[in-house]
Amino acid sequence: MKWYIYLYPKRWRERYGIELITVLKQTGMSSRIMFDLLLGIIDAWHIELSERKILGFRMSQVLVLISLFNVLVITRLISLVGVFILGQIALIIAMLSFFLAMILLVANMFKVGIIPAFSMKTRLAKMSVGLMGSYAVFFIVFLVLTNS
Amino acid sequence: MGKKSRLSEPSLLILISLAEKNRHGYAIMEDIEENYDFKIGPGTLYGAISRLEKAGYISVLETEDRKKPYKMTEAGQVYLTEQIREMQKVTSLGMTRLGLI
Repeated sequence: MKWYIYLYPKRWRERYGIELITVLKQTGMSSRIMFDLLLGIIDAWHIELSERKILGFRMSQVLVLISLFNVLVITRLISLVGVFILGQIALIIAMLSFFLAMILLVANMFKVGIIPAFSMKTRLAKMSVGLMGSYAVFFIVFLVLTNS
Repeated sequence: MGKKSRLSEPSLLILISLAEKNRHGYAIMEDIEENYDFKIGPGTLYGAISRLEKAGYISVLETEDRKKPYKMTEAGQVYLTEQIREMQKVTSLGMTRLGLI
């Protein structure tokens, strides 16, 4: 039953997760409750994306921009040359992110030791994981653009 | 807190439940089910609770227990009073136009 809770955003889960599990133990699981939880998860993510910001922009706005860009690529409204250049930019950002992530990981290893460096407790480890995320996103963008 | 946004029906039912006494999540669900013949799911309940808490209309009472009771704040009381007055206006207008009063 608990796995359902992990579909909620982390902040929401930390605040209401235990309470929700306690209530679910009392109500039990049924198809109606599962559907209700699913709607709750969508609602919680909607709130989370509306509030979380990246470089001062709401995450929902960033997602809309990315989606619009994808629509432009799919409908071929952006020329192939433009796509090629954007693909190269995405690849450069991906590689830079990967390079910086590795540097931070090694620096963290020297700072806190090899095994603790792989935990998410230090700021450097969090930054490194964030950069790896950026690497993944931009590399996917690169693959999408080069295959479009 | 900025401009007051309209809350959904479950949020109002939660506020009405807390107007009587402090209750935890499951007790709120039971109260709503008993009084309105309407079942509120746990996903909807906690979605509404999170909105109400964010708006400052309810607050959690810290306990060691896993079941955390919620209480209505003063802002919540003011908001609920406004909403009920608004609903009363709509109800009386509707009843008048239907010739029921």
